[in-house]
Amino acid sequence: MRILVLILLPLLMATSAVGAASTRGGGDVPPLSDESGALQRKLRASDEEWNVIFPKLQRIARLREEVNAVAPSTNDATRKGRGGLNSPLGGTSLDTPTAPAGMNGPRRGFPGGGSIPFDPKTAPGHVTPSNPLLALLGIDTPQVRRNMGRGFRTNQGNSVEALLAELQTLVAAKDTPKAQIQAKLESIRAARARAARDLQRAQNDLAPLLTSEQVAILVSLGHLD
Amino acid sequence: MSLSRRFPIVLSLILAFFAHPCLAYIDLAPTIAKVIDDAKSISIIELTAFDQQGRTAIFKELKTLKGEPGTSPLTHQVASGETAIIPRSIIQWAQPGAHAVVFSTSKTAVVCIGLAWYQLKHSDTSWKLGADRPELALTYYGSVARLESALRKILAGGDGIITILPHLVNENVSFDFSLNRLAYPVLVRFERVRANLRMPGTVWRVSNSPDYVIGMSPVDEDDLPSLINQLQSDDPEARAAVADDIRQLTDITGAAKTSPAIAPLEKCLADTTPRVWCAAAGTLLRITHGHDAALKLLQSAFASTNPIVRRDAAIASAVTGKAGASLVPLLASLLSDPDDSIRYAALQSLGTLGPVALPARNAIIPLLNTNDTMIDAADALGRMGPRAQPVPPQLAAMLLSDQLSVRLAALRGMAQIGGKEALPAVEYIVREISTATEVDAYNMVEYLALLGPIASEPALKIKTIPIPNAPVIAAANWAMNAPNAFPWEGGATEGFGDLGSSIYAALVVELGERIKPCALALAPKLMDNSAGNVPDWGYKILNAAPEESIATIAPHLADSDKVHRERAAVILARMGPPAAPARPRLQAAITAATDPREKNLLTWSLREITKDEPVR
Repeated sequence: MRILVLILLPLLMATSAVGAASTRGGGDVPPLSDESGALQRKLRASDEEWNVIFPKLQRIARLREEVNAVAPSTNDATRKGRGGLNSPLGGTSLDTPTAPAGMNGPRRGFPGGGSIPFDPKTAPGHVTPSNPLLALLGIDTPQVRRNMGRGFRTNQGNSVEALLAELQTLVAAKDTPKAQIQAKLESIRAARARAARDLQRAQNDLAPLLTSEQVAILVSLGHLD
Repeated sequence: MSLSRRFPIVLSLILAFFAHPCLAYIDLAPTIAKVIDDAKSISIIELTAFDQQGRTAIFKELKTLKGEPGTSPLTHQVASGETAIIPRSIIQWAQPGAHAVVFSTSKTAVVCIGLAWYQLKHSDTSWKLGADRPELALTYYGSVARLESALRKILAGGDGIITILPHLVNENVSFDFSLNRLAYPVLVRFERVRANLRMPGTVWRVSNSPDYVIGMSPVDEDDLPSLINQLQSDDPEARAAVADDIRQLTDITGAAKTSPAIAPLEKCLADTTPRVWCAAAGTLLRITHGHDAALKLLQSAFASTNPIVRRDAAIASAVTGKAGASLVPLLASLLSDPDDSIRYAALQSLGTLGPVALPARNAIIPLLNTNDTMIDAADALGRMGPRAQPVPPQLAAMLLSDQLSVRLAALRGMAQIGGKEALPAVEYIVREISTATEVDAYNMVEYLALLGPIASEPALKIKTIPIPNAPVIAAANWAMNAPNAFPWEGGATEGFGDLGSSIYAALVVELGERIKPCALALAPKLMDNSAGNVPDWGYKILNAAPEESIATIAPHLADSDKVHRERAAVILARMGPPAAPARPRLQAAITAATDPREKNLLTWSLREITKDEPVR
């Protein structure tokens, strides 16, 4: 039980941070994912159109968060800088990665339970439970599998916010040379300018897909400049 | 957020926590921060002597960036044994005066020589070559000078801008490693990232993260006007480098964006420096897909009595793709050139051209008989793919070599060529995979995927694979045992999110024409919306049979049902440039469309399929 709490507690904290991060930096514009269906209806976009337009709007929203980013709270900044260099490979990066087969090594081999890795009956494309553990628990649903997949999500982050967090750390340290702070400030300005340029490009990329009515709706809702 | 709404997210995070070991050695490759942290000392060294027969490289230490200065001279054994083959990357780099960066502890070291790394183990009095470390190209890939400059900034507590191989959701680098594409720099893309001592220690957390990624390729599309100006630089090296930068930019953005460079590049065809006009000719052929003057110039260069011109022409030919098909016999003739560097440049270009170089197959096969060229020849033949069948018997014989590097080269070549003559490769994998290193085992799983259904029955004997990466094994299982099914059906691919997408996206591109039956089955199902929840990479399966896919999809652009017309437009756009032959039908549909929304969607689709066509 204690182990479960130890696992769950930081995860719950991380979850709160995910929720907070998704609403940060975008001003009063609501998160896109929460209003996708309503926005599609407002734009009177067909499903085919929406499948093309929506990812572009998401990218615009993400870039706008970068352009408008402010320094994270101290807690967020501390968390970002912590424990980054640990690698589950073990050893040092100067050693050859090793992965003993079976269950006893630092990294498990596959499958580890006596099943056949290349069993035709379990090849993707066949309608079989994708995860024996989930099937055993009776929760092998598309929703749960998609949630599992979110654990591998990438492309998260905010270039400007990350730099602002680093600036905070530099400023907080008494012995930081002025030149280092100056260099960080230049990096922040460059990153913000790059994000602004990419935001403009992303909007230009979306524009040919929109009618003037759709542009008017998106501008009035704050999704487009 | 209520606890009940949070539960699915918490559950996913818990499951992801337990699934973390699914990441492969590639995903967990160290960032430069991790390598710096692990190294007790970091030095810039200079090659003072290279003894190819004795397989040793002797260095002097120039600067110590971290830790205490080491002893000079420093001797590295650069082959795994007294008669072992020296890695090609080391031979190409090892000119006296060449610089390298060495990161070391008292027992191990990794050495960056720019576009390659090697590992060393300290044994008694000398440093001996260790295992292959291709994944370190994800740590750094670029010039030694740029690495040194970045290291100084990073070690001082600041940020350094470095170039690395990208390992992205839509650009998984694993096949670049398993198929030794680092030997073909033209085929390798790279990304610019911001690096510092506080960055995460593993590549998967950096290569995709806006926190660190600055951009793809050495230049950005906004740089094009400046690049065009630099084509008039006084420095011929700079002019040649810029011509190649424009080529790299074309690979990223498509030729439509770089076509303003065509006229300035045409002027470079009259440059006085062979390297400049060769590079300009190569880039012109890449952008235009056909340019008479550039082609004739390169053809004439092959007959030059000046070896530098012949070598530069061979190097430039690598980037020309189908437009350079007529250069292939000329490149093949250079395989018997008296100059070593020209022979290798020609072989490397043929390998880069891949299937286009098929007419050179018979000229390459004899090179499999010679120690010095067998690995490069195996890779070049492999790059030709299934069209190079049958597997030459010499390749199968290489599986019996006492040198691991030769056996692995044979596996690579045979896996890419395939066919029943490649069965000895399957048997080798079945026999060896359970005791292979993680890197070799990972690569072997990818080879089985490429070998496809012929590997199905023998692979049933495999009980253990010493890699933890379940999605790559599942993807290989699909390629061997269900290549006509859609892997996303049944939900097997959903549980691995971006990691799974990354693996399948790379595999689908790599399998190419091998999954034609899957493409033929998919096209009609996409049109009647019965193919399930198709991920972005799923549409790329259609490119395994582009003509047939277009023949199925494009007629629906004239359908009476607007939903079908729009669906066809989106499917073609997802195929990208391989759907370019659908252009006339799309143009007709745009003309016929009365709804402005539909017209917009059709126009977007036209732009997507023609983005690699130059606008003149």
